[in-house]
Amino acid sequence: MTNRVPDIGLGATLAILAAIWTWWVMGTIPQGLGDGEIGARAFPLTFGIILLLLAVILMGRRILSSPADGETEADGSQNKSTESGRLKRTPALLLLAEIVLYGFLLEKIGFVLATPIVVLMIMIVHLRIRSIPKLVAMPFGLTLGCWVIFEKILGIYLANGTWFNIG
Amino acid sequence: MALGSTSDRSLDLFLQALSLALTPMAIGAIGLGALVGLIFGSTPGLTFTVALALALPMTFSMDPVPAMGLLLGTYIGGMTGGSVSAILLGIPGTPSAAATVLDGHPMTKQGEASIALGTAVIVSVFGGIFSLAVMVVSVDLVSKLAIGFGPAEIFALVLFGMSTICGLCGDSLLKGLIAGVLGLMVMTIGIDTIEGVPRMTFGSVNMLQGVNLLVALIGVFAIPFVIEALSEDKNAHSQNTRVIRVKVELPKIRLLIRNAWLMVRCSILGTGIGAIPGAGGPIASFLAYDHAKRFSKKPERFGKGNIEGVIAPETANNAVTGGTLIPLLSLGIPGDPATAIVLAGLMIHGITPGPALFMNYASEVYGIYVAVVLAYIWVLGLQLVGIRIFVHVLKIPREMLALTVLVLCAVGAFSIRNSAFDIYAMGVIGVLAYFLIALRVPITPIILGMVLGPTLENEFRTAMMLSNGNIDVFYTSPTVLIFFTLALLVIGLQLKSELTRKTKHQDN
Amino acid sequence: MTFQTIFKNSLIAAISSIVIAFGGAVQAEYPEKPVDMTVLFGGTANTIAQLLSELMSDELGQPIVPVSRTGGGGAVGYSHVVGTAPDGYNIVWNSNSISTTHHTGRVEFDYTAFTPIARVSTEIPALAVNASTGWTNLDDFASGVSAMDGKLKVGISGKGSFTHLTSAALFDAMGLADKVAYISYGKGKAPVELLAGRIDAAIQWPGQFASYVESGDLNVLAVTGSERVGVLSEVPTAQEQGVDVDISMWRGLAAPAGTPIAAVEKLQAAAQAAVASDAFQEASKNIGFSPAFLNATDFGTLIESDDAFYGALLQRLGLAK
Repeated sequence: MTNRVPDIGLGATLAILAAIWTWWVMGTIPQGLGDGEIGARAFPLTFGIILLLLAVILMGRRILSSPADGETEADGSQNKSTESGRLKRTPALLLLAEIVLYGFLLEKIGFVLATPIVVLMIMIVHLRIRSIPKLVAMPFGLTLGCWVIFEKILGIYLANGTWFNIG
Repeated sequence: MALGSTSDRSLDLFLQALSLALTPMAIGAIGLGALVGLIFGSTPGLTFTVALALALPMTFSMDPVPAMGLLLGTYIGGMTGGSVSAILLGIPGTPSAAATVLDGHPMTKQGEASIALGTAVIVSVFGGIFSLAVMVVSVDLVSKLAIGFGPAEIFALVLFGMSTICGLCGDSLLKGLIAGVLGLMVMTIGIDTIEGVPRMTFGSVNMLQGVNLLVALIGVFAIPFVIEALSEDKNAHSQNTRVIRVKVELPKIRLLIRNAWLMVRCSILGTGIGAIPGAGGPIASFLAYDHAKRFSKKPERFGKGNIEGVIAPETANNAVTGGTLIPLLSLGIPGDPATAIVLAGLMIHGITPGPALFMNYASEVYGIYVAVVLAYIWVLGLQLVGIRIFVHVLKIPREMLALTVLVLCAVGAFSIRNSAFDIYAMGVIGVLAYFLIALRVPITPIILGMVLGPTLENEFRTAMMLSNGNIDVFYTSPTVLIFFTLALLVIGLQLKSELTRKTKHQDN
Repeated sequence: MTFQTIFKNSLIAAISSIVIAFGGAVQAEYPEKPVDMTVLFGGTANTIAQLLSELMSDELGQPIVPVSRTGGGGAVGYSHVVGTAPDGYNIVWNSNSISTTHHTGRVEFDYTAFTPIARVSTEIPALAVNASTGWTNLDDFASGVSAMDGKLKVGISGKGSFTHLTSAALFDAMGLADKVAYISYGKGKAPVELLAGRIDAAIQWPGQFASYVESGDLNVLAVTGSERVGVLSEVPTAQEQGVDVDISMWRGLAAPAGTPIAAVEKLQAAAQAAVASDAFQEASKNIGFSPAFLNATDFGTLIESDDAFYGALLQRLGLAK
């Protein structure tokens, strides 16, 4: 297990992304007018092409390097980090879902309701905490603390819900 | 005789300024600003730009000097506080503190958090006062030089800043470049400021606002931390116990004296870059970091908890505060959103910045200088107490800390534009950054790309419009040539050291 | 039977108290909770909004909370407000940007999606040149530009921005449209660029030029509104110099269409009182805008005629969608 396979995957993913990006830029952003007007398209287009090239080079170099000699750099730690990267794919995506849900709820039901719901969810899903006192104390303590400090003392606008709202 | 009367006049002004700035009201306002700034700066997710926006209405009913003291105190406190969560948690409180993470956070892992924090605040104060002194002495000269920085010159400077990516790539230059380009790409999303056309928005109104730099910053640094902490193996406590070892210990004077010359160089660098309208703090701190690493006797120690890696960016980013005051006061140009709010504070009190400012409001201007010094005294005092409190954050169980950080980041991301889109953006960017880290792609170049990308593009395009498409501008200006040469030098040196490392490898 | 009656009675009591509670809420005097005011831009727009909301809060008895929803040249904030309930608790600190965002195709809806409440202030752009040109009025300027080889470099803050539209309208009216090349700066750096001589002319806000005029570095040739501006009272308008343009940026308050008349009237009265206050008048001098209260009806007429004007202008510049 070296970095070879994940890197090939990374290179391929980025190459595909860069290709889509470039194609989309070509299709949607108007070209400059010339005479010094470089236009809105030039930079995103150049970035897309550079990324495509870099990704292809990365992929190519890793494919050409034989699996045996692999990366001679720090092997042990690298091994571990790719492994842990694999292992935590699910928690990472789950957290993304929870953050998106949080954003959505903030807009709809406001900070005071959305925060305990999402914190509770993370505690149950990610941390597998089953102790009832903890499950009550943390979400409500955190919400109350933030609400008092930000909304009341510092005067930061915390989200109000558009469906309904308390606080 | 003429000389005598001018110095009499400035002594007069200085005494007047002292009487304006040393009222209990002014001292209190500056202290309040410093405290609020420190809190916002040191809380992951919250930034001093938001703090300034909140402080502005409070100044409406104040006298000019206390009002400016409150705003400048907040600005300076925020800039200094940015290092706290950068060092303790690896999450920079402001973009300018992103370079501090590189060595500050490893120091925390080695149990030296309080030394890093103490050093950061002391060198911040040094950089801040140094830049103020430069400004007081040479505001006219520096502002004349700053006017000389047109789009082409700023483009060249930013390109020079980008070249430091090479030194931040970790062990794969290729992956570092990929990261840099990804950062550049992200920031092109949204409305193009020059042509006013939407780019990569897929017809969505929310995408029109584009990715906010602060939101992206929160995502890139905080979300991977949260994911790691939430999915940590409960049995593997070895790492945690090491972090929990918290001692409060301030840096030794000897350490500071040994690095005095580095501090002076980084202060000059920070002041200079701050004075150029539109360049800003993050470039200064990355250039300072790169500079310190390049001229260090032990460059290989960088990134592993070298105190020089904290001193350089922290000195530079606070030196920027004095630097930005130069175009702000003498030309009326704010360098970033934060100083734009300071500008609004000046305007609303009838103090119109610009060439006539020093004629019409000399005593207020001197009062502002005194207020800046006071703000640094406050910041130093508050922070030396604060360090004793902050380090205990490390004792909080990591998963609880992570939950708190997540909520704070959501509050912070939301508070910038009050938009749920920013929370989605924070999540998506954060999780992508997490996967990239797992694949050993360095993330600092992403930040650098995001910070510098918009300036790089806009200045280049404006420069080309000015020259009517003629590429001459990029080799006829001496300033441009100097920065291009420096950039090439940095890239060349990096490639050379890369090659030597490779050959060494093969020899082994 | 007793149990059932008690149950029934208490149920009736509960329902009626809920009805009373809700009915009471509907009939209570507006406003009975804080009003959310969306602010579309930073800078001057935000500063005036913060000041106005403080003054209006005192009048209304409930806080008006300025909430910054920037981005997309106003598109993001307008879209947010359009989506809220028309109950008087969501208002927007709007400006001419309602016309530009609509006509450039960033949002589907137009000004009719909002009920005007009151115009609050206006800002009048000014044309400045470097003092070394020796031009002091629009005639000098026109003859100077006509005699130039190549084009005049005019600094603007982005295509389709208000400064761009004003420049285009002014130079059209002067017959100089073909002699002008626009240089877009991402942010309002025009005064310094003008000072450094990298551009030849710029249209920006008078407040930005005032200090340079005093120091003698820049000449302001004209303001584009129908009246002179306080901070530069010696500068004549374009109309006084025989050029027929009248462009100024207004800012005011609006609510989603369908907001009850009673709420609009309350807000309008609060805005009127706030604009008349000493604090507002004082701030206007310092920041460089003009207090310009206009009631809801007149404000509506103004928005309508402006919308047609900017629609046509954008069309002509090829920026309309």
